[in-house]
Amino acid sequence: MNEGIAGKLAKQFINSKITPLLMVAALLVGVIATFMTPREEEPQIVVPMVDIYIPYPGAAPSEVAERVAKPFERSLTEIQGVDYVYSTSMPDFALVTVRYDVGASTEESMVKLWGTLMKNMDKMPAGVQMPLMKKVAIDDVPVLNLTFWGGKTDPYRLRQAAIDVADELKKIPDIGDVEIKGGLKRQVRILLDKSKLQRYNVSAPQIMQQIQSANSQITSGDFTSMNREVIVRTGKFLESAEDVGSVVVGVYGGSPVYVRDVATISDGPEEVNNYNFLTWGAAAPAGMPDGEFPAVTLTVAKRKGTDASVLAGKVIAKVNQLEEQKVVPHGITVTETRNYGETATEKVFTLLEHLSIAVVAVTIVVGFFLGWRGALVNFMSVPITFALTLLVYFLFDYSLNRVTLFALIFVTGIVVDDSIIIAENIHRHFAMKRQPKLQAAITAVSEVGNPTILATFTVIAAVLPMVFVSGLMGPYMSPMPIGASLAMIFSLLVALIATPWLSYRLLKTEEGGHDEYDIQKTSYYRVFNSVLSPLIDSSLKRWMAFGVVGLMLLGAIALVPLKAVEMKMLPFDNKNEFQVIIDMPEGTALEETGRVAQEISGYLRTVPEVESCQYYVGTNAPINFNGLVRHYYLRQADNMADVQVNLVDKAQRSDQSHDIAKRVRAGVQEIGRKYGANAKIVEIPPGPPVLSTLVAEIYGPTEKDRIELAGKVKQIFLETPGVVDVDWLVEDDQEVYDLVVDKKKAAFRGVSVQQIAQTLRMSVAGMDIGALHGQPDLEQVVIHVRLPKADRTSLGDLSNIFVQSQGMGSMTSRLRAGEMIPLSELVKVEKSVQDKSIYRKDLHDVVYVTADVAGVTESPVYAMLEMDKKIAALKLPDGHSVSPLYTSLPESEAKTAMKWDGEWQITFEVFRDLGTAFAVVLVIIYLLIVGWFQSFKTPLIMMIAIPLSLVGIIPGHWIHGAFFTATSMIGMIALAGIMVRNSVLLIDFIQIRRDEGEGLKQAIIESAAVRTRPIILTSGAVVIGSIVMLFDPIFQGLAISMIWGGVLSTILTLVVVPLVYYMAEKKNA
Amino acid sequence: MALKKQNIVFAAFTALLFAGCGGHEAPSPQQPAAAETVAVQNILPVEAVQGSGNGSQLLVPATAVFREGALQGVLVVGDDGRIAVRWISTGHAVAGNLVVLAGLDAGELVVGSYDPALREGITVTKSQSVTEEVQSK
Repeated sequence: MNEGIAGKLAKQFINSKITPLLMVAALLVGVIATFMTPREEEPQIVVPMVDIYIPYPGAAPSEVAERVAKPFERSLTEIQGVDYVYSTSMPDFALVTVRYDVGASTEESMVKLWGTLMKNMDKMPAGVQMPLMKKVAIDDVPVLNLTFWGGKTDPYRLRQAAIDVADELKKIPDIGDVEIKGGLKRQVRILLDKSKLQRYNVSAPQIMQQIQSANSQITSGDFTSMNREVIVRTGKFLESAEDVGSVVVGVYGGSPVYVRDVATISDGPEEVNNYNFLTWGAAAPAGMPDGEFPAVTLTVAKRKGTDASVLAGKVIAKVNQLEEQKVVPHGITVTETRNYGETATEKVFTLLEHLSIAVVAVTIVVGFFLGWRGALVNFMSVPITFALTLLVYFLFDYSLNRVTLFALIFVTGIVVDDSIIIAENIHRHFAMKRQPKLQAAITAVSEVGNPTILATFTVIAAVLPMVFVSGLMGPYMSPMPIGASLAMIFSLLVALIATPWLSYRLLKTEEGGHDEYDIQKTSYYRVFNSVLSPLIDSSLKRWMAFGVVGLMLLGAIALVPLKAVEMKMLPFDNKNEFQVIIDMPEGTALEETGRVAQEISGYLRTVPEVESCQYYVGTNAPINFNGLVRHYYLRQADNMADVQVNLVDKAQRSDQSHDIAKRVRAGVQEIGRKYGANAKIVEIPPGPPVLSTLVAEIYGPTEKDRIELAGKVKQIFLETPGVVDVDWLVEDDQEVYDLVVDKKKAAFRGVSVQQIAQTLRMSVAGMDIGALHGQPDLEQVVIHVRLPKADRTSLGDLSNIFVQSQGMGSMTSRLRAGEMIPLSELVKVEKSVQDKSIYRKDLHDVVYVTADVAGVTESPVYAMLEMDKKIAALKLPDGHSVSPLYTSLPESEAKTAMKWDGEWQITFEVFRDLGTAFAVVLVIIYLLIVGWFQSFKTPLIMMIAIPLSLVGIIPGHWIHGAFFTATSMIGMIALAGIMVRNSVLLIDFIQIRRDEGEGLKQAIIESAAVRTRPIILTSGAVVIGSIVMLFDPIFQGLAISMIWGGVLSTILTLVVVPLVYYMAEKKNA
Repeated sequence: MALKKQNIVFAAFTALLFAGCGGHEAPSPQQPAAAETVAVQNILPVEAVQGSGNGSQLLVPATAVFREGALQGVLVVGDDGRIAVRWISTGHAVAGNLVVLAGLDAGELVVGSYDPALREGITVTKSQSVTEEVQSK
């Protein structure tokens, strides 16, 4: 007989000495690869995002937008690969964020962007300073946070200790950015005394000039004499606060005036500009003290491509060593407050454990059908398949993460099929005893080899098109189809090479009497005969059966509009942390913001699952991937605070983090409301991060129109139940004192506007005028000039600030130079409101309204649909109504319009791409079967099984109370491949029987009876293999689809497909 | 025979299919343990006075303010009599009092003279005279 590729391969390897060696080698490299591949929890998504800061000092937001942001945005769209351009025009500067297509090369994007930026610098208005361009990369996210705290240690000393440790840590290879959050820097502060300045006739700019010129030292050259060179150096740097104090800044009454005569000089902590406190919660480890402690956090990022857990281990070992060496002073405790390496390792090993459970479970199922020897054959071939797949992951720089490993768990039930089919057939041939054992094995492989290859490619055809999911979800999901396809190919090779070798040695030919095989005596036959016979004989009963199946299908689909099963992109994951983001109205003082953060963290620490809380006021908390995309690293204003909440490990609590977040939201927001703060609970999103779950983008012709509509939309958000954390990106009114200089008077008195501005800036905001030299400190010690805080609290304090007349030197005055003129004489105060930032997205002005969903609805789509009606009913001044757009930007900006964005945008893209992938899958499967059966009609009958899977999938989600998610959709697509394969097995056999001369009805019943065993075996393996996935919040949908869809579709396929086939072939019978 | 075995397998695993359904009972947030009660004589409200320029100023006794490095704080007595640390920023000294620039509201009660023994969470009893003063406001 024709051996085919399969038979030839089996013949080569079945008795070869190389086969066991290959098997052992594959297992070994798999184990090594598992330990060498970097581990992480979530797959790394490369989002080439670049922030460009363009300073334009003094300009109002409208001018920044018109002159800087707009022209620059326009030039950016010329660049190929630019996905989105966002800009924010604030007073004094513009922030332009450029997002490239996901997966684009970061370096290339940076170069292109820099080129475009430079090309257009000549078109920028005068006064625009050099732009700053910063790449935002996932590797900026710290993997390890170490918090330094101690009972009575102040932020200044904590920061010193953290800096010393940071310097040592930098020596560890593969370490990325090391940063310090919070604490106070060492600074030499020159606190000006207004009355003394006036008395000694000294002005602030004068102090700056004198100190800057005194703080210099240069190498002047060298002398050569007597064959030697001697270096000459001039000047001496300022090295201490005393040096700074002894700089002469003027002359008064014939004697020199020193800096120390007109100012207080201190060497120590800078003025308080942030608060960072750690408190231990209800679930703190034993022995942790009560109360809150000043803290400083050292964050460690990793270098691209390195393993976070290895790095974290090295860092922690180093810190322990430094603690022993007393580099960390006594009384300061270093606590780990984030360790992504540990969570990644934990996740990876849990998943590997789940993978083993799945393999064992499937083996047991196989054991029931093929006996323990058959099970052993499968049990040995599956690990070889996975070992090879893991090797490929390592070679292609994939990391071991939840998606790559779930790809393996997901295919566990499928990859055993190839081995099952081969082993089962060998088993059957051994039982028949028609040939010698060796020959029987080879014949068995040749017989089923080709259909096995076809079946494998059908499943690959079903999963592979999912690679083409675009957008942020693409890289997140792509390891799934790639990993599954790789595993399928390896499983085929293993089934053709290793399985025959193992079967030949392990499977026994059964001894004793062998009954003549009679299909009609099997229990399967009796079942199918009693079920199928009446349906085939009576067309009424047949139509009733179809009617019942049709009703089941309709009923299942009806669960979706009835909201019994809700659609969501991805459900929330169970993490060990969440954050509270606090926004006070613009113009709130640092301490007032701190008070709200303190009270919220005080509430959170009473929650039983909270291990620790850390709040950061005036500086941002260490960011995560979500914060990176949302630009939380820019949250460094006095009115902003972040609370980082660490929960006890998920193994030690019964509630998921999402439930805890939902539970505390009311309490947190009540505290926030008391102080007029907007406090949002921010969880780590399960998939790609977006600005917010719900985002309404408001477009319109003028800012007034946009804000008006945004206000109304925001009101609707607030009134809709289930919509929480409502906010908008419109700043509150902040009072501004405009000091308008009377130019004529100033000119007459010999004072320039610039001089006034500089004096005021130095007095109020302060100014860095140099640094101390020759200090052992690792951080530069800045010399800072400013008025003491007590002297700059109101407009009244500005009145006795003096500027010095330039006299004739100013060319506008005939008065003598050096006269001290009070500012109050030269400026007039005008009160106004700070201009609001202007946001633009893809060259349109936009106002964002943001919210999250929790409670009543968990899926944003339903909240959106509900709010749509209310928004459409809005009355706008110009009479037109707004109907929110879903997928495209408004065509014109002449009228106000609204578009939904946020999670919806990604959901839409993912389901669109998966839907397209599904369509492609159906076409490919059709082509494959047409090629195999040489019929246009038969493949359609086989594909009936695909919609039948919905009868199981949708009610399955309802029973589990789960969302129909993107992973559910993946399960549904993969199931299509498996179900079609079942139909192929069934109809293939009917045709063989008919070719042998059997009647149509008999052939159908017999084939159903014969094929039930392998069909239930393969489907059972898929179902059992998927059960472990039920326990992962994200991949639960995939498991439900595979299990429920698999069970129901299998049962229905065995009845419906034969019946439809009967009807189609009746005429030819 | 094979069919029977199958039935057992499926029956066994059907139970597993329903695993993961249903929610968990949410434990209610626990209350912090009752703290000790201490009598403190000097509890004062934060005063709002007309400042030197336009607008008013908040004053607390200089003795109420403690320092931890660069940080300045006061002990605030809450409505329930519990002590909490509040971080503030201060301005000029005015006759034994300090001007509070941010962190406190007028009328809030503070411990008039800082005592390191008073920790966060301790309940303090207010003296009679102060209570009257607050009520008269």
